[in-house]
Amino acid sequence: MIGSLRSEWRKTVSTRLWWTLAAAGYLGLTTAGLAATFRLGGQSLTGGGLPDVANGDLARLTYAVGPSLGYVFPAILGALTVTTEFRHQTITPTLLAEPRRARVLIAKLITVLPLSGAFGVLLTVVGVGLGAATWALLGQPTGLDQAATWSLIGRSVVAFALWGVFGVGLGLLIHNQVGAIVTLLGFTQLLEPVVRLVPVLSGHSWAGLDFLPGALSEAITGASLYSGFAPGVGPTLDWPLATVCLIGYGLVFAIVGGCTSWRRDVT
Amino acid sequence: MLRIDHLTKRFGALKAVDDLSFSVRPGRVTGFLGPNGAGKTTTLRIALGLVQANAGSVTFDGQPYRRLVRPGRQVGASLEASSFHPGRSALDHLRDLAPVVGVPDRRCAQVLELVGLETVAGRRVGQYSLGMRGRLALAGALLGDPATLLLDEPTNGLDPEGIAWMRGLLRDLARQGRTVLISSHLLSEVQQSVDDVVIIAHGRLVQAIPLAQLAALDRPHTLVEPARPEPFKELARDLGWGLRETPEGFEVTGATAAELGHTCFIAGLELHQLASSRPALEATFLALTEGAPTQSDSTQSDSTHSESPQSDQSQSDQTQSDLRQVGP
Repeated sequence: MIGSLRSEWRKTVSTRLWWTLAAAGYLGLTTAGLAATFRLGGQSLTGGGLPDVANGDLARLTYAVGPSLGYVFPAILGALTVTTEFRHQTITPTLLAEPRRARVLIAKLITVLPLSGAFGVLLTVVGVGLGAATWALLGQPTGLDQAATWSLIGRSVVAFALWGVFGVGLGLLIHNQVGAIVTLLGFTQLLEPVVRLVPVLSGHSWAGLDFLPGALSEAITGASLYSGFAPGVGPTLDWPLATVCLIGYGLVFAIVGGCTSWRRDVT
Repeated sequence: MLRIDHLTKRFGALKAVDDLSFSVRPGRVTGFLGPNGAGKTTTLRIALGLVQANAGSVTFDGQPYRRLVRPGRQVGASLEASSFHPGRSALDHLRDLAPVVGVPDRRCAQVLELVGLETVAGRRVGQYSLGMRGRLALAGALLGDPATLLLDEPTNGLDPEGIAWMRGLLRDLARQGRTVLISSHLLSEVQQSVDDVVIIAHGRLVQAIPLAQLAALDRPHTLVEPARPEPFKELARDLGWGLRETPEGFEVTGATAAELGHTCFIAGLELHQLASSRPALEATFLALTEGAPTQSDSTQSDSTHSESPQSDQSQSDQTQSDLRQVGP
């Protein structure tokens, strides 16, 4: 099993994938982070319609920009660790070296954690750094002296790491690279945001929406960028429950995939 | 010792492998031969646990592949020359596998040297020619220094020099007491490398014999061109010879050239040509696989190995680029 873990780790870091994704995440988040921070910062200067500004809550709201927007990058990384094996047929040498497929599956689920966690550190630092710099310039409290802020930062990294597992699970379910990525982006960037706006627009809330993966990741972090723009969309679940549920998504995908497509003939 | 026992694999209505049994002995190079679509690749994939058989078993010294403690140390295999990530270097490809195979990292550089890729080890595989990928696939198979080697079309994309090199390497490996099985759709490609042949067609076994005995399966015949065909035919019928008309005359079985010449001399028949002939081994091989009982639909999973003249052309193009890239 140690051998499988080392092998999976080497496979992930021996192509350009991980750092191109990290760079893309960094760039994307910097842009989005700047936009969000400036918008909220501008609102604070003009004194108009801000969420609860007391005690660094506003600052923490901008710090959530990382997990609110950047989670898709570790998820793509996780999915690609599985789908590239099928795309380039490296699954053949992989399964020749370790024909016990469950081991390969478990190794992939575990190996993604340090990398998606590292994505979390990078992208959280980017989000927090941008936010803190802006608030300091504006003379507003940065919240960096508060335990609540550091708790948010820590949980943000956890959320990122779990999105990596989510991605691996999805890849195990959908081996086709394009299919997996389209599903991932389509669901997280289009379907879920739209579905979650329904209660806001219609006035009817439904607790089930809190269990959508994006909502879970915001609940883990404890702050939602969306709530800055649309009050009432914010997370409601406790972060431990949300953590368990997000892990659950990844594991259920992995188990279903492991019992179906992962077992098929490799031709 | 590799043993294949009553193996059957169906893809839908098609039987790709049909009650196939044979065994491969250590210390010899065995050619696994058959036309494209005969079920060679499927058989190898089943042996290696990649494809599940409907019936039967494949064992390595009594154990199925998935039960082997260190499969990569016991069995080395190369199935396709395309199973690489194009953005990964050859050395990294092997280093990724080394921890699971159970060999130290320095072994990766060793096998790359063994297959002659040491100077391009750090280059991304996407820039490799077909021949270089073939060598890398072989390096992957040799990584665990295994006692058994299963190589699917290992000469694909290799230039004549490369084929000669591979032949020597396989001989050495067999001489060390290893079990070596190489598949090919052309007997001529492996004829000089193999000691034994296993010939299959339509998923069924046709022959499993030493190469030397394959030659003995030839039916020798005599070519003859009589001045007047009719009396010659009559004579042949009387004596029970087998006759087949050819543009020049007849192909006769059942009599050597000496016997035939003597008989015709006695009978006063004028001959313009008399020669004994032995078909090429390749022709015997083709006759064996063609004569095998056919199945209504024989398209099958290893049709990925195209056999059209066009692909041969592109292969030789590939070979030339291989020479350029491997050369000093």
